[in-house]
Amino acid sequence: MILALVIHVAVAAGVPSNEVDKALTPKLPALLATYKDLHASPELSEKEEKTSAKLASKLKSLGYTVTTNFGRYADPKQPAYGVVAVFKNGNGPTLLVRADMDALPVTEETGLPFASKVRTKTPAGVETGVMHACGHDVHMTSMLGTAEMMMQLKDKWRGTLVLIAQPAEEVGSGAKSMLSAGLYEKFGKPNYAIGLHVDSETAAGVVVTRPGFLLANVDTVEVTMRGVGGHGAYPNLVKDPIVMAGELVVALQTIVSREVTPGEAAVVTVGSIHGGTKSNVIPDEVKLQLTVRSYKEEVRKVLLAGISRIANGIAAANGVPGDRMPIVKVSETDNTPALYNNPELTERLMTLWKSELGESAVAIKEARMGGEDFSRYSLEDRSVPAVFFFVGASDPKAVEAYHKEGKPLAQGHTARYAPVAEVAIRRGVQATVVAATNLLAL
Amino acid sequence: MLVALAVHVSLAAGVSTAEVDKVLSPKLASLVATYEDLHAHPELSEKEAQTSAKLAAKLKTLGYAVTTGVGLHGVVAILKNGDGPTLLVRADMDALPVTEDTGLTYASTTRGVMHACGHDVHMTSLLGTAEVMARLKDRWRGTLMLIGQSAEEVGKGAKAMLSAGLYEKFAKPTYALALHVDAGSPMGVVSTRSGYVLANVDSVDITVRGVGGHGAAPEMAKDPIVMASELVMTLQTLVSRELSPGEPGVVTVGSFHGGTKHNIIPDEVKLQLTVRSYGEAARKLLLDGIARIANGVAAAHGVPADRMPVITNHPGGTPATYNDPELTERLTRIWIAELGESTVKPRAPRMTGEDFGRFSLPDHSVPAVFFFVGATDPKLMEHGKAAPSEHSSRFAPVAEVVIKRGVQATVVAATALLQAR
Repeated sequence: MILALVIHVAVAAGVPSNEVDKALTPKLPALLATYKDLHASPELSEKEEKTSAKLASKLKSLGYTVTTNFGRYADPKQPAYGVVAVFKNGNGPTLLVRADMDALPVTEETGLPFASKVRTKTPAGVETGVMHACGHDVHMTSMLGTAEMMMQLKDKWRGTLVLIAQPAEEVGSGAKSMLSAGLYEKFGKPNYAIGLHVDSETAAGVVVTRPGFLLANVDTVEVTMRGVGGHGAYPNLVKDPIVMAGELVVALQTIVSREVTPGEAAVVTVGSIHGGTKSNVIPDEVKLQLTVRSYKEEVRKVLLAGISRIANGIAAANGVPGDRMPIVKVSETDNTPALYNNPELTERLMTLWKSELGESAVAIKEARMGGEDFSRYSLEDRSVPAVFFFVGASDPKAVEAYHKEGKPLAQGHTARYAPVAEVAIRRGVQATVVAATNLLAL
Repeated sequence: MLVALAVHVSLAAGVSTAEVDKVLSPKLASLVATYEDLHAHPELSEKEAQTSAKLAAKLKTLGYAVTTGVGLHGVVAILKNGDGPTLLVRADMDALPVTEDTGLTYASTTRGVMHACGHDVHMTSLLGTAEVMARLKDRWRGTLMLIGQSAEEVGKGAKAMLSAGLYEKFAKPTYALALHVDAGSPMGVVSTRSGYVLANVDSVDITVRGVGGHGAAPEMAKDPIVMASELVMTLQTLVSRELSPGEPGVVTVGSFHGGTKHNIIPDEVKLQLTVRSYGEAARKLLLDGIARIANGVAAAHGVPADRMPVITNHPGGTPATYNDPELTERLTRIWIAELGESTVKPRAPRMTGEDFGRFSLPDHSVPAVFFFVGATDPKLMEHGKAAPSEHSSRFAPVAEVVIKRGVQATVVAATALLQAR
């Protein structure tokens, strides 16, 4: 008890959780109404026009200086719907807090009274429903709660708060668009950046994160194995691209097993392979689509170089003519860098949360090979210390059954995903405000 | 010269080429007209109603006893000519789903259908043989059984005729003969070989089943793309490690499809294979090996028992075409003597297929010879160039030369075989 008190005092700079609660509780019904409205009117990646307008108007009425339509995509004529809301509150550090705004091409099946009925066409022209199936509606609502609390508690902190609502997280182009448009040049390079995400595998209200790598480098590679087609009965007259592609898939497994240092996380998945039209015709080429995951840049380089070397080596080994060597394309747009939580800042916030939210409300999260473009806000040299954390959003009993008995759980990105929004929003605001007022302490 | 004469005398049981030509030459113009009519009006496999009717009518007027509708649109024309052996001579009637691009004046009038495999030449040769054999019937004894067969291209026609009781209702032949045009040989050249000349053709579909999942969480999935790739690689060892060295065999994976995008591990991958071999033992080794390897690769990956691969062997395969060695040697000697040494060439075996092999029966109790007649102007083959091949939309055999040589080769062979013992 005495020990706990000592720790509490040591980290107690900033607003304690119970003070946040006092201000937050009367606002929760209004926040929940906002959440339901956002959930019922989702917009796909890069199309977040109405969503961003709603956020901008709410942030403006709270007293923030708001810039809208902020962002620049690869096609500079394409509108970007990023929102930047700044509140300067005297001298002190700058903290960036990010929420993402885009929804997914998923047709909702939750049966909730505020379920999405929105339908649209994907860029590929396929008719689809649209749904906030990844909790970005929770993220936005939490940010609005944080905005309101920070304004109410402004005499408890000093510095600059930069709230950003980011478009196009799901397709990996949103963070890049905001940084390309000069986010740090126009509004100041932040001293810290934080972002949160709902977590379907964690009990509602539990905050989980980890120092160091949390999510992976995501690279997308397309390989066309080219041979010389012909009749299936005359294999001696052709260079069979299906055999070469088969060798390639098998040999690619050795990158992780034989080239990457044991214990370093790495994945090379061939998700799609297509070649040929019928049994007795040997095709001219086979197309493969790969997703490549890693944490460290040097591992990423080993994977990408290995794919190219093995593809070319197999073609050479099969005696493919010089003008029919494989085409290996590493996408320059469809990639996301690994998400790295600054270890010192993560330890600091986890200690703070344990003290403010309770020991049992904070846990270590296992690193995953999924991707998130929040990673870009740290910059390539990681000169902006950042922490990305998860807030549990599932019924604790369902989570227990999932972990102990393997009973399926409604996961993010699925049509039945329904987070326990009120608990997640409340905890999201608490965790963000205690962290923000600590980092922007008087 | 003396040696050649001696050989000629010992084989002189049949008619000579000169005698064939005397009867054939005045008929060639009308045979070429028949050829052009057949070429202009092709019909797809199993749809040869008009073609078979034309054939039947012409054979009837020549004095043959004609039965139609024997297995699909199959035509059987019999000429009994005293006691002696029975010889089956077969021509196939079906065309291909190819849009003709030859620019010939008698090009196909049916869009999208073309005699691109020379069956029109085969039928016209059969009619020429029918006419010459009828005219020369005092020079041979026995029974001539001419066959117009449906659906060769889809591997169904020979089976249909045999299932319809061809050998029970008419006669089990003593010998069987058939010819095929060959775009790869100069016009008029006759080529064949003893033993296997074309392959067993089998089609196999394999669905390699795993457990799909997220591309970033491979440990939660059983990746069917990795399994299918291992399968393609291990299948190569059937020919390299399991067949006797030198025994022909082909396992080709012609189609490999699985997945929708980069970051999703699919539930299954679908493969389509063509499998070629000569003997039944080699065929069984390959088909059994494919199933064993597919199941073994799945087992090695720890696939659940209810997700083992699904392997389907298609029933439409055709057996290898096996030329009876004794009969092939005999006919080759006759052709060398009658058509000239430079006209007759040995032939390398191929791994393509034909359903003529069925007329030998599975026990090869009907000695058969399948031979090829070159169909390309040698000028088009200079400097290693290749003329448009069979099944090409620009395939255009030099029909008059091929028909003439086809009738000569068939009649000298037939009259030699149909002699009272």
